[in-house]
Amino acid sequence: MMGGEEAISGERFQKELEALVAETGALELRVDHDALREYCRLTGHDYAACKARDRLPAGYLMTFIDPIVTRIMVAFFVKFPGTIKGVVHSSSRIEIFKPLTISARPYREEMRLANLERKSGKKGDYFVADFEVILLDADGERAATDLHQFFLKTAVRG
Amino acid sequence: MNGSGEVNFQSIQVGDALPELRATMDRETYFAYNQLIRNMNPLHSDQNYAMRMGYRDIVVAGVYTFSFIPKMIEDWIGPAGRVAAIAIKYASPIYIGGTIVQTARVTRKSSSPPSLEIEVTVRDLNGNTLKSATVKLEPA
Repeated sequence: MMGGEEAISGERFQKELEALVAETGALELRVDHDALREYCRLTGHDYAACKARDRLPAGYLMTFIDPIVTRIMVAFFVKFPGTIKGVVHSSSRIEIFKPLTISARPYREEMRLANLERKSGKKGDYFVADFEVILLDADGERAATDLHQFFLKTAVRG
Repeated sequence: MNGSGEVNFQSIQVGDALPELRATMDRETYFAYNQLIRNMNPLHSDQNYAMRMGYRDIVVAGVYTFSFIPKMIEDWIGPAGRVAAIAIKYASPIYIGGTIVQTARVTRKSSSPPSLEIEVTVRDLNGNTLKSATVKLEPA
């Protein structure tokens, strides 16, 4: 584990990041009715209507798949405490291949590092990291994907 | 207007505008959301940290503000359609306490296979663009 205000090379950072994503692995996701009801309350969705139609609101997708994203965020700050100065979500490309149902058997989500580029800007060096989250249904078929792009502000050399 | 289902997919035309959606990033509601997802990024909960990062206040997480884009579309189309894809760009931060104003318009209609493309713009009350999105809608 690295700590302090350590600056690392871009090449090493990429390897560390890829290892981190690999360690994150896959997660099983079940629709938690209490969580969905609370989400609907906090965003103005009609939980009863969703339940009656047996459909997850499309807006819930990012929240539903968030556990693997949160896991990687926690890992960022634990593993790179002095290296990752900040994380900013810059864009997302989402595809929903089939209706997501409340009654579905457990889904599974996986993550991969799709791209990593080093950039320099007014506020210093940063990485543009594309993480793809893949949501699989119980039959192992792709139900949805979300290509998250994050700006990782770093202390990086070389 | 949730799931009114009064919009007929076939009758929708390019240029049609959707009903505007406004939402205020209420502190209590947003912190409850952070708790729901166990948000660990201090940018979304710690004002001092956010200011050290160059922001003027706590930045509302994209995962939360995202919710309102498909919601606006689903409220409009009801059971007649389903959101198949969304491409979203976060241009400027949305701060705690701020109000977002979402407007949307149909920009493309395809017949084979049937689908609609809708451009969504999210602004603050001063008209500054905060994010934009393109949503693909298919018949349910």
